Amino acid sequence: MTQTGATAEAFVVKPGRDIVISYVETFRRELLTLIDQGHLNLVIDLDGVSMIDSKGLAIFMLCYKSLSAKGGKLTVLTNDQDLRYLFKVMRMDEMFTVTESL
Amino acid sequence: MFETTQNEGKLHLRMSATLENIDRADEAMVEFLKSRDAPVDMFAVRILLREGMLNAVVHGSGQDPDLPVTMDVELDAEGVGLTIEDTGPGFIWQNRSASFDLMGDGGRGIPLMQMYASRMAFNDSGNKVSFWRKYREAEVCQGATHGECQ
Repeated sequence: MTQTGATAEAFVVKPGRDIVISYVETFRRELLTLIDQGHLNLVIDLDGVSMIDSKGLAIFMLCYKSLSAKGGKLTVLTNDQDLRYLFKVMRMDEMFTVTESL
Repeated sequence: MFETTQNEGKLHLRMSATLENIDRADEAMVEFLKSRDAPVDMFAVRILLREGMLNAVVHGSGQDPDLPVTMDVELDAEGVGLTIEDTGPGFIWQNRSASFDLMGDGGRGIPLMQMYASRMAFNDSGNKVSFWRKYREAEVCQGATHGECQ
């Protein structure tokens, strides 16, 4: 179960496990439900995540596109250098913010 | 089915084509590589396993649990080799591009393989892929751990 919580400005989603094909459908549904509920400033906190595969990366793009269509914003929070590099080489950091801290 | 064999420093897995077994194969390889105490770029090798297994289980085998997928992991003096094979019809890998649609929902698997493998090759029919990833200590330029010094 993904942990969630709100800060003053954003809604934080913390999957706490690898975002890979065996989990992406559950994660996709959770994210789209949050967006449908009106949480348009989403932060995905990758603490506890050590791997994201190509199917997982696609979920981030889906989330980004869904939020953008509604004027929202996606931020990815991680200090894992491998994950930060993954978003960089896949050019996703050009779409949304990938940061070590809020 | 999920069978593990270790022989002369090699890890051999034979498993049913299920998503659960991708996770189990990942765990088995990580445990094996940690036990060998080699300077492996674990993230890079895990990405290669994940994308190779994803191709074999989902695209090659249609997630049919009656179809077997095999995986072999072997260390040499300079790096780690990973070979994944399914019994599906394969695909025309020559037509797959290293580029991808940034906004698209798919098509990132092959580019990820090419970015993180030091070397990779498909067999002619496209149902067997072999990766080789060099060790961290063999790399000489900054950023090489992520395949930038090929």
